[in-house]
Amino acid sequence: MKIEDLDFEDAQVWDMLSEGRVKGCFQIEGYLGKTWCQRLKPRNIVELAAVISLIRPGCVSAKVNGKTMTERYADRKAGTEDVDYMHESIEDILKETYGVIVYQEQAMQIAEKMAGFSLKEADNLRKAIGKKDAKLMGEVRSNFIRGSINKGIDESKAQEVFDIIQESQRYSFNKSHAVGYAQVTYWSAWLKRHYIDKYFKFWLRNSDDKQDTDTERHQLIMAAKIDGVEVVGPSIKYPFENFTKQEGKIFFGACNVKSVGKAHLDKYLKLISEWDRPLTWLELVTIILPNINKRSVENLIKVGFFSGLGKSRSSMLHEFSCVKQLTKVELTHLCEGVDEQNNQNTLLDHIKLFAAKGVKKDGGYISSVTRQLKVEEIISRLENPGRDLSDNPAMYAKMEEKLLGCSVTSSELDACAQASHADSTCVEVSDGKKGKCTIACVVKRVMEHTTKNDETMAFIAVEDNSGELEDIVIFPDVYSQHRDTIYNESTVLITGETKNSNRKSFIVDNIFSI
Amino acid sequence: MNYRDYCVYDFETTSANPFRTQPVQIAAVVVHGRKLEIKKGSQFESLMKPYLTQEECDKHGVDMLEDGAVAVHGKTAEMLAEAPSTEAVWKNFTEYVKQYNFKSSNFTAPIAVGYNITNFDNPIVDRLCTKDPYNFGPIDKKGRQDVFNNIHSLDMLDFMFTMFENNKEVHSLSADNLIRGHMGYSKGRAHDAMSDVMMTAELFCKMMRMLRTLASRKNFRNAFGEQNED
Repeated sequence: MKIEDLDFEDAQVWDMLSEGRVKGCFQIEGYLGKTWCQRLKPRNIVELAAVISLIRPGCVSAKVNGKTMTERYADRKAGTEDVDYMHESIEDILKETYGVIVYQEQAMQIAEKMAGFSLKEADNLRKAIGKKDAKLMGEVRSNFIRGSINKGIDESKAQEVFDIIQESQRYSFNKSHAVGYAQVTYWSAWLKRHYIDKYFKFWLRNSDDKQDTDTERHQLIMAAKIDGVEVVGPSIKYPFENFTKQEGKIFFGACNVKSVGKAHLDKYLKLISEWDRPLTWLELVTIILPNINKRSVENLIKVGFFSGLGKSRSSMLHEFSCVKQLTKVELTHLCEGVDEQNNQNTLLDHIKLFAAKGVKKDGGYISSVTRQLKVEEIISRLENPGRDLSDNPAMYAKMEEKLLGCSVTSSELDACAQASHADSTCVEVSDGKKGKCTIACVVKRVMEHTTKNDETMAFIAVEDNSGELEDIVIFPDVYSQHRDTIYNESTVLITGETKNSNRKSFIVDNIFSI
Repeated sequence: MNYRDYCVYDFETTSANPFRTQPVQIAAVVVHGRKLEIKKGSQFESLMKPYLTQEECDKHGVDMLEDGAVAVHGKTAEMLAEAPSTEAVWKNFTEYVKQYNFKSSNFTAPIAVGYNITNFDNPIVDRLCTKDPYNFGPIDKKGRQDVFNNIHSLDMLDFMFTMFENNKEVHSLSADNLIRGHMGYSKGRAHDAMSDVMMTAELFCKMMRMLRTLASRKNFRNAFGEQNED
């Protein structure tokens, strides 16, 4: 099947766009595209083209007659504002956009129909507005009003229409362009809807090319969660270079971890290819890993690449750091003592056995008494790490965030006992859960805003293990009490309710630090 | 403004001279920089084996284990003879502190906190990192210790001085007199490094929270401006 043959009638695709699940969809994947898709709910290519035109920065921010074009279009589409076509002669032209002049072509058609402009004159109108040429604008304006009067239209009405054209056309978009974009948007959305695993896999692979790889990965992983696609960290079971789909999940590739290059992975693969069975941690740490770049091994341990080998990440890091203190010769002899039969022994046991053989002159493998002291120091480090080496979810969440761009194994919430007081998840709330909700979440963005009364309120975005929730509003009375609690990466319990005002927002009425 | 964690630490030593003493025990906990609470599972504690003979101590220019010191912390030469070497413990300790520095730069390294650390514990850290007979590192480009943040270091003794300098009920700022005596902290295992560290960490969290509350109530903008008479 060719993508050009799609008929733009797939209800599942339109549902997906209307729900704001737009990450990865051409032109509308950003915050504006998401929120306005949720509000405008496009159901066909014409409406999608309008969304693409209306989410351009000028349309969203600049007000024409007290309202932005985007808001006016949305209100009229929702029926909360009456549709006004300004003059009956141009109703046909503006019908598809609820009386809002969204496209440049509409302005040209209005000039043609109301003022009898030729197409060339109409194009001059477009140019005059676009280039803000005051002299040309004066000429076009007088021609427009004269032409409208000749067609029996009131001078005041002609002036009103021209003023609106002039204001709105500063930001309007070319319809042919918008429809072309809309088509590509639909195709990308269709592919996302029907090949969701592959879609996210390739988007994640492409995240390296983005200016801010970490943010892109984070957004993709959050979006994948909402769409039911699980993204997990790299695994020793699938030591591939890049993101790959296995067991119905998307696994990070080893080279997607910071400071791990293809050369490091190739070296690792070459070394383990000499074995015809999976290696144990003891074999890895003594035979394989000391030969690979230290930082890349440490980072792979930190993101859980070797998890599943029966050791916590902290103890793997500790053992690797101890092994790296041995010389190459010492390591070679140490490896001789490690084989399948005595794999049950720990690293400490092996080093103790190795040290017990003594220095060279006594028939051992250690070159000198100084080195023997060093080996004893390593034994001492392994025997007394001084700290708890068990897994700590909060620490891994931070490590993964730094090295993968997003925490995938655990979140800081997993370390918070009070998180169990939550009765809702971010995704449940964003899916429209009604009534009072309590969410345990990590704050991801805080945008402060000063009100007319000179008070500070905040708009925040949060996430939990289910996904992300944006559009959270903390009004000044609550924010003033909890300002210290709300900062990037803070873990909090927030209670509140989704209220339908202009747009769906979660209004917070209490916050607890957890 | 601050996204760094705090590392509250304490040494027990062989003598009272920070430039000649030997550490015999180290303990530390990490306090979350924003939440101001002790991080779960962040305790570090270990004995350290000092040079125990007079000959070794003379050779390395360090103080022997003094009876007065043993009387304070209770770590006898017999106990310490079995302890891991100072270098091994220091390597473990620096690795432990590094875990809490997520950007691996000294600017983001944990800030050292302790009781009387400016005059006692910090010089020992410097010696362990940069001076003989230790010189274990890590060292930054300027030759300074690279374990803790090199810009900030918070000594709770200074903090207590500013709080109690005019208080007639307090006659000494020692931890025994002020925190355990005057402020009523449990005397349980005084001068055990971990016990002292937990006490200092709890005190630090409380004091910092109090300062935060005070600071949030005061508007500092233009506080020293000519128009401001507040």
